[in-house]
Parts: sequence; structure tokens; C-alpha cells
Amino acid sequence: MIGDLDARRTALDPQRSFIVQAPAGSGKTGLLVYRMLTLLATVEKPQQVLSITFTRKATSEMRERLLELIVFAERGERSEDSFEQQGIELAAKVLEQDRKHNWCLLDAPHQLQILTIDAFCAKLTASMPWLSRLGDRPRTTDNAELHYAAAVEQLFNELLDDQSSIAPYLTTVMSELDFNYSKARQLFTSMLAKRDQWLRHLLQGDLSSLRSELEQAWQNVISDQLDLMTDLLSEDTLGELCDLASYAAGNLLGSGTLLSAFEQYQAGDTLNADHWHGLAHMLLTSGKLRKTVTKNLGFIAKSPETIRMRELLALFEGDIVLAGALCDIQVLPESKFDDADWQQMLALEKVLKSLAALLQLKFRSSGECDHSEVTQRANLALRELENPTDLGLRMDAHLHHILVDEFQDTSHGQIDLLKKLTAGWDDHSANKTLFLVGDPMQSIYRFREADVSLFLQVTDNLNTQIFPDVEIEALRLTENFRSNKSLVDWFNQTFERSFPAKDNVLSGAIRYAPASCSKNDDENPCQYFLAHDKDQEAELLLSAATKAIESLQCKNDQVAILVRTRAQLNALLPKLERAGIRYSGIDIQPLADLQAVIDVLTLCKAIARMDDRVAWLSLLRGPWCGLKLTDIKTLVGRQDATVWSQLCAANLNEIDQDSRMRLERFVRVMSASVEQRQQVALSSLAKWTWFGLGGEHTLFGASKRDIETVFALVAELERGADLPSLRELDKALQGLYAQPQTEADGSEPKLVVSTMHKSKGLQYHTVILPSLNSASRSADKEVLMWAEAQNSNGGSELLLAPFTDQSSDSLHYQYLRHLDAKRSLNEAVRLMYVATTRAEKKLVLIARAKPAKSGDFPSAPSKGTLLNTVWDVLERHFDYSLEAPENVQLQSDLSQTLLRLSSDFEVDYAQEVNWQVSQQLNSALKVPDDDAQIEYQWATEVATGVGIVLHDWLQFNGSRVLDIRIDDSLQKQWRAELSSLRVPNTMLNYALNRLSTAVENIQSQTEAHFLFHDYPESNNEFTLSTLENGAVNNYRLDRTFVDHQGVRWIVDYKSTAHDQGDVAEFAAEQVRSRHKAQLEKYGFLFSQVDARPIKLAVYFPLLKQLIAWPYAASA
Amino acid sequence: MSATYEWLSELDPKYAALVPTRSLANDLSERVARQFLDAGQTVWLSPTIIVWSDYLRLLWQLNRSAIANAFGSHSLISSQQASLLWTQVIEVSRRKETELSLLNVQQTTRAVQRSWKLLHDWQISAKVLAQDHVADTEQFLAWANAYQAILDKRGLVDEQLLLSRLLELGRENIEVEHPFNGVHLLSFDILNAAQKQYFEIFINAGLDYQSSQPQRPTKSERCLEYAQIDDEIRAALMHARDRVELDANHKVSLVIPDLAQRQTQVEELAREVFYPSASPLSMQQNSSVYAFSLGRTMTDLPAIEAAISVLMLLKNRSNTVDIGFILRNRFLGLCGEHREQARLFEQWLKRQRIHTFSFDQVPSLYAQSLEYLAQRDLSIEGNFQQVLEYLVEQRQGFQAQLASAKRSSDYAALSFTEWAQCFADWLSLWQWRTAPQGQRLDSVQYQLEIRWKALLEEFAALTTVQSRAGLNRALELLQTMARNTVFQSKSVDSPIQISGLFEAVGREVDTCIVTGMNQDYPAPGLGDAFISKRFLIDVNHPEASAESYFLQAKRVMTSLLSCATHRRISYAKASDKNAENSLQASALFRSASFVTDSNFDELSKSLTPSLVPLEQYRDTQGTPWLEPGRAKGGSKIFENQSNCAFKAFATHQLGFLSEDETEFGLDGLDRGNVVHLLLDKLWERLQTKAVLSEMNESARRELISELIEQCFEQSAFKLNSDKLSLLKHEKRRLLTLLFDWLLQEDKRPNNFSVIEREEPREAELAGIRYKYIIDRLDITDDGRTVIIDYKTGAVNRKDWTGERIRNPQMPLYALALDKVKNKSVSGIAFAQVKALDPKYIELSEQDIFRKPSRYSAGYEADWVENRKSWPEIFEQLAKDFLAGEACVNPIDENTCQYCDLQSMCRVSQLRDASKLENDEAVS
Repeated sequence: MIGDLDARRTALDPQRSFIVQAPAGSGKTGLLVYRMLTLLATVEKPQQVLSITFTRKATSEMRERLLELIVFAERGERSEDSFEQQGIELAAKVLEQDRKHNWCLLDAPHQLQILTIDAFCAKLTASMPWLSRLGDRPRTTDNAELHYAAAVEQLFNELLDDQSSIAPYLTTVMSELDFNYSKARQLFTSMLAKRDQWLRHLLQGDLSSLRSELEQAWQNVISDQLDLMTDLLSEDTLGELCDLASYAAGNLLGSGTLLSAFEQYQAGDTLNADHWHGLAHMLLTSGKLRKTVTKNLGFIAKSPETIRMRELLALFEGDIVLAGALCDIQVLPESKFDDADWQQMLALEKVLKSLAALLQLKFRSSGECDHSEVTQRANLALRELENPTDLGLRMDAHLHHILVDEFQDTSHGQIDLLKKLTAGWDDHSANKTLFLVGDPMQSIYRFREADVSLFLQVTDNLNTQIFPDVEIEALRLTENFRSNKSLVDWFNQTFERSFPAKDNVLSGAIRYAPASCSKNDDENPCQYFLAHDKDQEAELLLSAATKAIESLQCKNDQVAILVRTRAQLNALLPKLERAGIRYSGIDIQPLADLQAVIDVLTLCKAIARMDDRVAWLSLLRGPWCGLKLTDIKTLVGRQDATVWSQLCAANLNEIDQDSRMRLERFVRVMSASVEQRQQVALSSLAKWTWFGLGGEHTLFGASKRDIETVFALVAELERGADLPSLRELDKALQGLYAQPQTEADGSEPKLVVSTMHKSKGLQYHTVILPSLNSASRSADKEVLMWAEAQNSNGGSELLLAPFTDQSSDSLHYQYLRHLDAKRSLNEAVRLMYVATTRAEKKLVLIARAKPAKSGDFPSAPSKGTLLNTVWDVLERHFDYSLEAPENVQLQSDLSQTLLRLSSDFEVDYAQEVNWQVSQQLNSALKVPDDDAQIEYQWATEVATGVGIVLHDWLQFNGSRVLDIRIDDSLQKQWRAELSSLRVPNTMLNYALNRLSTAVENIQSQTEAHFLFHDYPESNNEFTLSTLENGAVNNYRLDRTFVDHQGVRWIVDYKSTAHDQGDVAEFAAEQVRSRHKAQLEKYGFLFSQVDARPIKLAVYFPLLKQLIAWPYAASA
Repeated sequence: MSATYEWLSELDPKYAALVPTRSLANDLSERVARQFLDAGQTVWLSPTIIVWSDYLRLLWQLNRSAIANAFGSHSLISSQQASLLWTQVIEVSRRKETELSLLNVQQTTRAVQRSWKLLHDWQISAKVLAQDHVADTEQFLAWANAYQAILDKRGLVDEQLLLSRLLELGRENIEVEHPFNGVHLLSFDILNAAQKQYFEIFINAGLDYQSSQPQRPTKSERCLEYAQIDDEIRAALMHARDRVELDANHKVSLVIPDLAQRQTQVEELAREVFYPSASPLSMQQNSSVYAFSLGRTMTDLPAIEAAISVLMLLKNRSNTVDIGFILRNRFLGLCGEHREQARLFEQWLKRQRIHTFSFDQVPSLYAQSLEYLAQRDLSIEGNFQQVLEYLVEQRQGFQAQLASAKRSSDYAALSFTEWAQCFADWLSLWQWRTAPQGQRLDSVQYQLEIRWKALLEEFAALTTVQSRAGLNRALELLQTMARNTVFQSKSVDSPIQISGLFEAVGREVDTCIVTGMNQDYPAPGLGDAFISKRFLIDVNHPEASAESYFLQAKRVMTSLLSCATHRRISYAKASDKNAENSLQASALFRSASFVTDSNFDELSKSLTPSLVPLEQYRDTQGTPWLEPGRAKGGSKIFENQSNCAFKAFATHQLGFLSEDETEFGLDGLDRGNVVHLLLDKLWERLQTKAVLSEMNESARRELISELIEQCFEQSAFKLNSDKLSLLKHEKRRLLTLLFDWLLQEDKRPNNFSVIEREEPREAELAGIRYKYIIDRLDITDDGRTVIIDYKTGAVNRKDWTGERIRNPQMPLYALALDKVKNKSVSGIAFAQVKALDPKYIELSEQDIFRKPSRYSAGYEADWVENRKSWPEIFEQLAKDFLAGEACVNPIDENTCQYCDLQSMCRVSQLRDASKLENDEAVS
């Protein structure tokens, strides 16, 4: 019987809202799926239930699981597993609802709203393009680095503009950054990437008007901190400490120490921040409580005060909470900003706002933006909605139920969104619920602004009123279905002491909540290893992994090696490979490190840049050509010419036969490639060349899919079949990783290598955690630091501090850095919890340590390490039972062994078929013989315009042309048409006159009227097709008809004008020289399909000339 | 020709066949031609086979007078023209916004056009929409009203409005003229409400209306699944290949629903399957056994990209990356004619680390590059300089035209016709063509050139809806138009047609292969941005509900499959968007059972080439220097040789030069040069510490400020104009930096005099001659000489010590100077002139840079010890270098971190080999 059954049943109540704390292995996804099924069975449209997941993978899993249950229910299946059967029954109710409302869920499963927050925001903004001011669906990118870089550069450009309003502020900010453009670029880019975190604060209004509000927020922090101190120290003790401080200050009079605040102190005085700084100084050394005091601190040896002080220090010994609070006091700033800081803050405000605006311009011009922009715009749209119910109108369904997975990793921006989505839910006419599931003990995404304290605040929603319109009940699951009991006990014992004792919203401290387990076992779940050095650690790891894999019994069992950072795998992965152990790992092996990938990129660079000497020389020395350095020097040693030009002119007799063969093959393949460069996509050309050079045989451990990934990247970045920026290419490659490996039979390997963050939500038979002694990299300093603190009213207050001076940051800035460090430490223990709780049966902990000075015991791990988070509990398990490794003489010099294809290598192309493509009837357009450049003449000549309009008019008006009056309407029509043909405005009247003349001539020239009469067989713009020289050509005739005598007429209209001389002769000459051959051709073609006599005619309305003649076959 | 379409060849000229896509129209014309040819006829009357938009144009021509009379509309505008009008309308509303502006106007314009079309095609009432009171819909209606008002005012009509107008005529009993006596609709899966109404009028006029779908008997149908999308497409291509190989007359339709997104990938796979040895270019130029129904957007074509990049130069501002792309571009005859000059110019720009500049500066920059080359005894012939000057002159001519427009109308703008002419002229100056310089145009290139001209014509035609535009706007519009224009060279008839789904419907084939049938197909309809789905229910729009949407997708699929006798449907289990997710089959085929294509796995294995064994070899010996005294590279030789012998060989024998792409602003080198110059000037004035010490704080500040100003005035900083402008913002920083540094100098325990600054010297060590310049040489009052080198970054004393010296420059100077002075130098020091951390990093005798202490005693000991070992170390380095030793032996991994030679030295591979050898040693 599981212990939290009641909580699980309650969680399915579709009438109530819950926040559920679901620890590792407690079946959170199952609970969400069942809750969703329950809710779907109560709504009219499936879109009324929204489930927000944290990753695309989670979305996919949840959807798959839900649909699987519906399919089972549809088939009427039953399960012996009672839990699964419950799911099938819930799904059956959903099917009933489906049938009732004609949802067709199985045909159109996309109606299920299971979405990541990004996808949901995209959907939201797509339904409100105007309100969100996002416009219609821009492309969203996971990697907006290029846009950030462009915006930052644009910002820097302001410094070149004397008139720029932003330049003075930017100069102020840049001064603080020592005008180091590289550093500034990096900091600004990072600020843009997380602008959803700070921009909303800066957009609240003009910062200068917020000064008192901001200072009040700092004052509140100070007050809270001082209140905490008075809670920690009894009144008597505090009074005694002040007296002692006063004594010490008296002894140090005038020395300017931190104790000088006590020089004038009188018992009973109210303590201010300076007093507290003094007390902290008196009690602490290097962040720890003092063990003793000396005359340097003002305590004279053997004085009663000194003795009393030492007694008090002995009393305080080991009080971590007091030490922590005093540390906080040490960095507590004044509430007021000093003027320099404030000026810097104002300058930063201007610069950052301007930067954000420039980014928007980049997004606008590219039609692409990042997810953060979409989230911000979704919030904006919801804010702009006058009535919350409008959202339902825009999304075609009112949201009735919202489920949120991984709620512990929610950010303030996301909470804002949820608040807006639930606004107005206090109306009880429709049942609406919120279901938030997560495990604050597993909150490890602080770098994405996840704020675990939000979980705490929502759990206390009644007081905090985060969601004022929803009544939220807190539930807690305890049962761990994943791990063995012995492991669950281990978790409880270890983390009960390692997690903070108390929750703390500001520092993100979370208490541990113990888990229960109904399964029994009596195994020893955890092994501990301490290595002397990296090599020994790698050996230990290899051995542990091998043993764990051997011990696996079930087909689906896997062993996982989880690390905090990828760098920790550097020594290990090659060892696994050499031991022949295959592993799957997502985002583990950087592509940029693979030699085959470097070779592919080199090839692309060489094709794109003929003068990239390194790329070309690398190709010559690489495995495909394999020339030696001496040959390279001989052949292409000149630096003033490209390598290629030297190769083409090289005297191959200067090198030996083997090298000659290599070079000839290389030049043969590259010649074809060089010839085609810039004419076809670089990625395609490079791939073809790569294959031709023998790339498939030189993968050096990379997979073909890895190579495909690189070509795809090149395809993405190339512009005009070139790589304009090689830096962009190198940068983009940094974010790519090799594909997971598979076993020889295609199955998934038994070993998984992953980062701890990526392992979240997964489970493995055995989990091995190496490098627990490695500290994480300290975070870079930001140009602006901020934090949100909760005030006594439950509202959120903003703490802001600018980066001012490189040596002495402001105390505000230092305090926020300090707070950030505390949050990091609190997150570290949660990361350890996440990593260990992935294990089902076994856990292996491995670390390196140096012996302590005192003896064989390992020295304590440093502060930022994962080992440190559990050291107090597990120290006794770690010892140096292993022998220090023998000093094996390893080769320190690099091996100089290279690999290359043999000189007689030839690519083995798959067998080619000589395809007999059938005769092509649609011929390709023939290039004129003279290949002359096409002339561009944009101001269309009047004659052309008149000709086109006249032809159209004749074509579409048939016999009416003889009667139509040229009225205003027709004139307007012509004018519009002439104008669209770009006849200049100044020439419009002239052109109109011509058209009018043409029509008047047609109407007055009665002998030509027969051309326009209606005949039973008549067509305008008629097409004849014929096969000529193997291709089909089409001929369009202006007009053809069969007259009452049975003669077929073929007529061509010509709008030629002629103002002088003999018009008739002119027309006759025009026909003779320009039109007759064409008409004869039409006649000939028609004669092939029509046996009737044919007459050919050219009609010149502007000349009032009709020239007709019979078609004679012999002609 | 199949029996289904035989009637087409007998179609009366007064009748037309109406088809849903141009590709089907082409396919049917082709079939008709074949039928005539098979019957021995070489000339025939072509039946009219057209798509709906062409039909609509005919309706316009026939009824334009009636429409003009009834509605005052005289011109039918194109979609591009309509798009510009919509943009104007949307942007006007945007300007009213005080807060955030609309982020994505271009896309929104298209969305609004789609909604406008939906409104008219499906006869949705604007009044009904207005009752909804949804802000976005209200905004759309406001835009629509504004748009309609502009159309009315200017007497324009667009395609969507046209049909509505015709239907209105019909409703008012005004006779509508129809272009044909009868129409036959082929393979239309659905008609929209407006089309239905139109054909009612058509039928009521006594005209003939028919509709049909091809239907072929099923002979086989297989449903297959694959692991990866690549496998799926490759298998489909191989199947098509098999069919055609067996029977050359066999027709295959290969359907890839998302072809537009993966065309490059499919083209590559198809080439590999059908023509494995053929190059990508030959596949573009020649007809083949397969053809794609889709073209490429014009901006994807390299020649067009080149044209647009060149046009962007009209804006004047450019950067090295963009200009580099232009200088090496093969489609610009001008650059081709001056290929070598262009190449060297680009190289110079990169080496000078120039980031941005104005195009007007290009000739002067080029002149500087010539000077630079001349200094290195390289001369370039030709008149590239004049050419560049002429281009600048011409560009300024365009600017003058704009300026004149601004003077006359306060708006620097030209008409689109003028812009088109200007763009064409500018391209012509660059000798832009769609074939690489020196090559004759082939047919595809010729067609592209014609299409580009047509695009410019369409661009010029925007004059109908907007009189003028500024340069940026004109360029943006042209670029957008190119991006939205698909170019496809005239297609040839191929037995295998590869297309998207809708292009394949109606095409009768023997085999139809449908790929991509995973759970994401049919993709959920995106819905309309401004018109809610609930308004679609009343008009029976297929996207009104999930049910109707699914049914419509099913109908389309049925139509598609019924065109073929053999059918093959497949999907891949892995999504290429998210490899971790496993996909199922599409709900369209829920009842079908998909099986793994076992043939493919076997075939794939057989196609995978057996890997050839690779040769192992060593290559550590480069060419020795036969004349040691002529080895070039100076003291850098020692540094490179010490850090990694391979780097030394590659640099000094093979001419490797690191070329990092320049970024905006002053980089480390610029900052270093500025500080070097200022310190040089400072000590030129000060000469001794005594003088410095006598100066008070304000005097020092004054002196530094004066020197900074003087350097600016005298253009002493060797920086380009942009960097110089930026440096002006740093005056305060420089003042503080130098002032703080002087405090360090002042702290030195003994008095000293600066006896040399930046003095060029020459030396020889173990056969290598080198020139060197010491930043500063001080002599203390007690007669000790020390060498000082300024550094603006952090430096490390360890770089001078040990067996492998990372930074041998200073030790080398010390050894050289010993010989010159006939007396040992007493120390070397880096002056770390770094903000907030100024200090001396020295290796010297005591009491020179700091007062004697435990620490400085250690430095002295190091100084003494290392001085002894340096000669031997350097001699060995010189010996190795001269012998051509080219081992890859970096001091450690950090040495490789900023080295650009990794592709050539193959250190990554060597490290793997070393680990393997070490493992073997251990075991």
C-alpha cells in the first residue's frame, strides 16, 4: 500500500486547483496524464485544457502516453496493472466525450493542448498578432546570437555618430568596462539573451522616478536582515556583544576599523547598519566564526572582556546559521545609492533600453526573433486584452484548465503569463482549475531564471495571493516508485542534512522533504571512490561502468555516467572508446573537436576562399592528399600567390612518384570543384568534393550523420554559395555535438553519458557520478544585477545594482553577487539530489582528493563542488583505500603518427545507369548566339505601351470594337493601363491620342471591318504548337477566323505609326522586311491542321493599312 | 497518354481545362503533345489548360469596362503591388503607436493579404466580423477599410476583390462575359464559396461545366516505416530508380510534403542515387531522369545574392566581410577582371583589421593597400584604383539625384522606375551577370537573367501604387520581392517528378510514392491570424473544425493516390526537429499496418563502401634552411619554435599568417599601440625618474592630457578614421591609465634614466639574424641597464622560465644586448600597463623595480639561473628551426587554444593517437 494514495486520488478532482510537490520518481508524468484525461472528460472542447511542459521531449512523451491510453480504450483493451487500467478507464470517458462532441481526437490529435511554454506563447501571439505587436508569426530561433551581435554592433556604432543621443550614456558605461569592446560585446550579448529578466523592470517607467522605490526595496532587505540577526541573538547576548565591541573600539580608537562605529556607542543605543558591520567584523574571519580574538581586534590579552569574548565565541562555535547571517550582514549595503552608482544606473538604463530597441529592429528586418521576444509579446497581448474572456474568442476556446509541469523551474515572466491567463477566474460560473506540479528539490535551472521560491510562494497562495483569483491547495506526494528502498533511505539520510534547514525565498533555500518506498530490498546501494589523480579516476570510472553494465539483467536497463559539465568527460570518453564500450550521449561530444569535422570545414573554407592559405595547405597535408611538408614547401612555398595557382603551375617532376599520384588525384577532384564554386550551394559542392576526395574513408571516429550535420550547418550559414564570415561558422559549430552512438546492431547502448541537467526526468539502473570534487566556473560579472524580493505585502520588489568600477563594485552590487552565490550553493545541493535520484538500484560516487596535511584523510572539498554539498554526511565513506597509482612513465611527447589514403586510392562510385531520358518536349530556353547583356530600359517607350494596350483591347472586345465610343471611362481605363506599363506621366496624353486615333481609324476604315466580325470559327490569341528540333514550340496568333467563303484568315495587328511620306509604301515595306516571314510561318503551320485555303494579313490601324495575301504552300 | 485525359487533345478551342496547379497544367500540355506526336501529327492546336488565376485575368479583361462603369476600377493590381499597399496601410497604423511597434510588418502584410483573400473567397461578411469586437479582428477590418478606400480612390482592384465585383455584377443582373463556352475542372478537391457562386452564374448562362478526378485501378499498395528521414527519402528515390530502370516509360510521382524545407537535402540524395559521380552543377544544368516541381527563391541563387549585395553598397556604409564577399565574387565581371588586385585588397583589409568603412573611402583604402604592398616589394598592375574611383563617382551621382529630389520636395526619394534604372545601371557598372565572369551564359543562367529583369520590371511597376521611395525602402522592397519570388528554369519532362503534395495531385502516374506520412501529417491548420475559426463554420470552410480539416486532408490524399496504380506510403520514426522523439504513422493511415522496409536495410549495407585501410606515416621533417642567415621571421622564429616546432615551420617556411575576422572597435593590438605611443612620448619628455618625481599630480595630468591631444592633432595614432573617432571617447581612460602607470614608475626604488626608446637593432643568434625593437631601455643611477616592454594585458613571469619558454622575446633581447653593450643587462621587465592592475613583472637583479624583499630575491635567483640556461635553449631552438624540424610539440593544450593551425598540424588526431599509445604502455 503506498503512503500517498489519498493525495493522488485528490489530485484528480477536476473541481479543485492544486500545487503538488512530487519528488523524484513519484510518477509525476502519470499523474499529469491522468489529471488531463479526467479534465478532458469534463470539457466541451479539448482545447479548453492546456498542459504546459518544460521540454519538447516531455510534450512528446505526455502526448504519446495519453493517446496510447485512448487507443487502448478505443480497442476495449484491459490491463492487469491496476494503475494502467485506471488510465484506460479515464481514457474511455474521454472517448465518450469525443463522440458526444465530435472531436475526432484520434484523427486530429493536435487538438490536445500539450505545449511547451514557448510553443504556447507562439500560439498565443499568433492568435493576437496585433495586440502582441509581434505581427504574424515571425520565425523563431533557438539561437539568436547573430541578432544579438548585430544589435550590439549597432549600439557601438552610436559612438561614431556625433549627434547620437545615446553615445554619452554609452561612453559612461564603456568607461566602467575600460572601453574593452570585446568584454562589452560579451556582456551586452548576454544581457540581450536574458532581457526577459530585466527589460520588464526597466520598462516599468523612467528609472529616475523610481529611485525612492528602489531604495525602499533595499531598505526592506536591510531591515529584514537586521531583524533576522536580532532573532538569532538573544537581547542579552546582543547587548553583551555591543559592550565588547565598544570595549574593542576603545582600544583601537582612531584606527578606522569597522569597529569604529562603536567608539561613541552607549548601552541601549539603537543599532544601525554600521554597528552591525562592526559586529560581523568582530565575530567573523574569512566568512567563518572566529575561534579567538587578539589585540589586533582590540582585545587585550587576558582582559576580562577578552575572556568573555572567547567564551561567547566558544558558545557560537558550529552555528552555521549565525555565521551565514553575519556574512550577509558584512555585505549589506546602504539603502541609498551614492551618486556615482546612480548615474551609472541611469546610463545603463538608457543603454540597455536602446540595445533592446536595436534588437527589435534587427528582428524586424530579418523576420526572425527569439523565444524570449515571443514570451514578452504574449505577456503584452494578455495585458492589452480589455476583457480576459477575449482570449477565448481569439483562441477559439476558453481555457478552463491549466496544468503546469516542472513548476519549480518557473520564472517570473512565466508566472506573469499564468497570472494573466487565470485573471477573472474567480467567476465561479464555469469550473476552472490550475494544476501545478513540480519538485522544488529538483529546481536546477536558475541560469534560465527559474526561481524556486515561486513554488514556495504559490504553495502559500492564500497569503501571498500570487494567483488571487484561484484557490490553490497544496498536496505532497512521497512515494518513490523509481528507486529501491535502500536507495530511498540513502537519499533521506543524505539530503535531510545536506539541504538547508529552512526555506528562504530570497536565497532560494529549500528544505528536504523525505520520500517513502514500498519496495523492500537490503542491498548496499552506494559505492564511494576516491582517486589520487585524473588517470586513476578515469580508470575507476571505466571499471565501475564495466562492472555495472555486466550486472544488468533486464533488456531495458541502462547505466548512466552523469557529470556536471562536459569538460569532466575529457579524459573519460577516449578511454571508453578504446575499451570498446559504446555509449549514447546527447550533446556530449563537441563536433568541433572531431578531426573529420575539422577536415570538412577546412574543405568548405578552401572552396569558399581561394586565398585561404591555411585551408589549402591543410588539404594538401590532410588524409585525402597526404603530401609531406617538404613537398608542400617545394610546390607551393610562395606566399604571394594562391596555393591553387601554384599547384596548377607546379612542376610535378620535383616530387616523387607517390606524391605525384596523390597530387594528381587531388588536383583532378579539386579542379572540378573550383570550376563550380559560387555557382552551386557551397554545402552541396563541398559534400560532393568531400566524397570525391575519399572523405567517407577518413571519418576518424565521427559518424556520417555528424558529417551531415556539418554540411547542414554550412548550408544554413552560406550566403551566395560563399561563407562571408568564417567566425560565424566557427561560433555556430561550438553549439553542435556528435550524434549519439548505437551498438553494431543498431540498438541503444547500455551506457548513457549525460550532463546532470540533461538527465532530469530519466532513470537508470545504476548511476555513476564522477568528478564530484570539480568546482563549477564562477559566473561572469553582469553589467547590471537584479533580484526580486518579496515584501511583507506579498508583492514583489526589485533590487537593482549597476556594475560600476572594476576594482570596487558598489555594495549593492556586491550584495547581489553574494546573494547570487548563495543561490548557486543552494542549487548545487539540488543538482546533487537530481543526479543521485536518477538511480533505480545502484549509485557510484567518485571524486579526486589530495591527502589532508594532517595525514591520509582527504582534505575537505572546496565550496563550490557537489561533493561539498554532501560531505558532512558522507565524509566517513570516502577514504584512500586505493593505492596511489604507480608512476608509469607515460610518453609526454605527442605521437607524430598521421593517417592518409594510399596513393593509388580511387573513389568507388556506386554503379551508374545511363538513364535514357525520353525526348524532352519542353525545351530549355535557348541562349541567343551573341550572348549579349540584356538591356535594361525602364521607362517603357510609348510605342510599346500603346501596342500592348491596343492588342489587349482588340483581343477582348471582338466585334464591339467597331461600335465602342471612346468615352471618359475608356480613357481612364487606358490611362491606368498605360500608367501601369510605366508610360511616363508626361507622355500619357500623347499615348492616349494614339490609341484614340487607332480606334477611330478602325471604326472608319470599313474595308477592314470584316476582320472583326463574329464568325462561327474565330479566335483571338490562338496557340498552335509544333515540334521543332526535338522541342515543342508554341506560336500565338493575334487573330484567326474562317470567313463566309471558307477561307482561314490569320491576322497580325501592328501598332506602328508613321508621320511622314507614303504611308502605304511604308506599310508594305514593313510587311516585306519584318512581318511576312512570321505570317508565312503561321500559314505553314495552320496548313498542317486545316486543309482550307489560308489568307495572311497584317493590319496597321494607325496607318489605316491592311495588307493581305494568300498563303501559298510553296512559299 | 492515359485514357483519363484523352479528351484533352480534342478540346474545342472555345473550351478550357481548369487545373489547380501550374505544374499539372504543364504536365497535361506535355501529355497532349506526346499524344499528337504519337499519332504522327507534328502541328496541333493547343488546348487551353489554365489555372484559376489566369482564368480570373481573362475575366478581368472581358469585363473591365463593366467593372469600371459599376465600380470605377480601371486597373487590376498584382499581388506585389497589393502587398505594397497593405504595407503602407499597416505602417500608418504602426506610426500611431506610442509603445511597442509592430515587430513583423512584412509577415503581417502577408497575413493580412491572406485574411483579405479568405474574406472574399469564402464570402465572409465584414459586418459579422465586426460584431465580434476582438481587437485584432477590429484592427484587420480597419486596415481592410483603409486598403479598400485607397483602391477605390485610385480606381484599382485586386484579384480578391475582382471576383467579388463580378459576382456583384451578376447579382445585379449585369451580364458577365465568360472567356469560354465551357470549362472542365480537373482535380479540384475543393472550390471556395466565391468560385462556387461564379460557376453557378456560368452554368446559368447556359455554358458547359464539368468536373472530374483521375481514377486509376490499384495494383499494389505498401506502407513502410524507416528509422530516419534520410533513409526514407533515399529508399523512395531508390524505389523510383528501380521502377524506371525496369521500364523507361514508367512514370513516378515522388511526393515529399515538406519539400520546400528540404529541397537541398533531397536534391543531394537524388544526385547520389541516380548520378553518384555527377557534380551538383551538372545536375542543375542538364536534364535528368527526375525533375523537381519546386524552384528556388531568387535570393537563394548565388548570382542574385551577388546582385543584391552590390546594390547594398549604394547605402555607402560597408564592412570588410561584405566587401570581401563582393571582391571575390565571380558574378561581378569587374572584380573578375581585377581578380588579383581584389584578392590582395581583401587580404590587406583583413590584415589591417579594418571592420567598417564607407564605400566612398574604398579608393583611398585601396591606395593604402598599394603602398603597403610596395613597401614589401610587391607591385600590382592595372587600373583598379581608377575603377573604384569611378564607382564612387557614380554612386555619388545617384546620391546627387536624391539630394536634388530632397531639395525640390523635401524627401530624398525617386520613383520606382528611376530606382530600377539606377539599380540596373549600378549592376552594369559592376559588370554583373548570372554567369561567372568569362563564361558564356547557359540556358538556366539566361533564364535567370530574364527573370531578374522581369523582377526589376515588377519592381518598377510598383509606381502604380506608390509614387516614390527612398533608397533604403527601395532596396528593402527589391530584396523582399526577390525573397518572395521563386525561380524555376523551364522544366523538362522527366519520368520521375519530385514534388510537394498539392503539386502532385491530378498527375497520373504508374507509381506514386508518398513520404512523410508521420503523426505530424496533416499538420494542424495554422488558422487565420485575424479571422477566427468560428466564422469559417458557416461557410463550410475545410479548416472550420478538426473533423472537416481531417476529411479534407483525406480527400486530397485519396485524390493523390487514385492517380497511380502502384502506391507506396512511408514515414520515418525519428523527427529531425527533435531527434529524441519517436514518431508514429499519420492518422490518415491509422488502419494501415506499416512494416519496416527490410530491403532498404540490406541495400544500404550493400551500398556502404567497405572502408579502405589508411596508411600510417610520420611527417615531422620540413625543408632545412640552406642559407641560415636568410631565415625570415626575426625573433618571432624563436617564440614559435619554442611554443611548437610545427607552428614555426608553418609560419616561417610556409607563410602561414593568422587572420582573425575583425570586430567593431579597438582591439587589443590597437589599444597596445596607443599606449606604446603615448608612453614613448611621455618618456621622451620626462627622460628620468627625477623629473617625474618632481611633478605634482596636476602637472602629470596636464602633461598626459597634452600628449594625448597632441597625438590626435598630429594624427600620430595609426588608426583608421572609425577607430580614431572611437578613441576620442577614451581620452579619460587613457589619462587615468597613464597617470596610474606613472605612479608605478615613481615607486621604483632608485632613480633611473630612459636611455633608449623604440630603437631598431639587429642581432644574430646561432645562425639566425633578426631585427628587434626594444620598447625602452633604462639605466639606473648605479649603472644597471634593464629592458622594458609595455604590455596592456596580463602577463606572466613564468613565460620566461623553464625549458620551454613561452615568450622568449625579452630573454632574446637581453642576450643580444649583452653583446652590444659588452656588459650584462641587469634585468628584463614587462610594464603591465593595465587598468586597476598596473605593475612591473620583472626578472632582474634586486632593487631595480622594487625594494629588496624575499620575493624579489627569488626573482633575482631566477634571473641568474635562467640567464645561464637561455643561450643553450636558444641555440637548440635555432638549430632545430634551421634543420626544418616540424614536430607538432605544443608546450601544452593552452598553446593550441588560440592557434589557427589545428586543421593543418592535426593535433586533435595526434592527441588521440598519443592517448592510445599511452594506454598501451600502461597495459
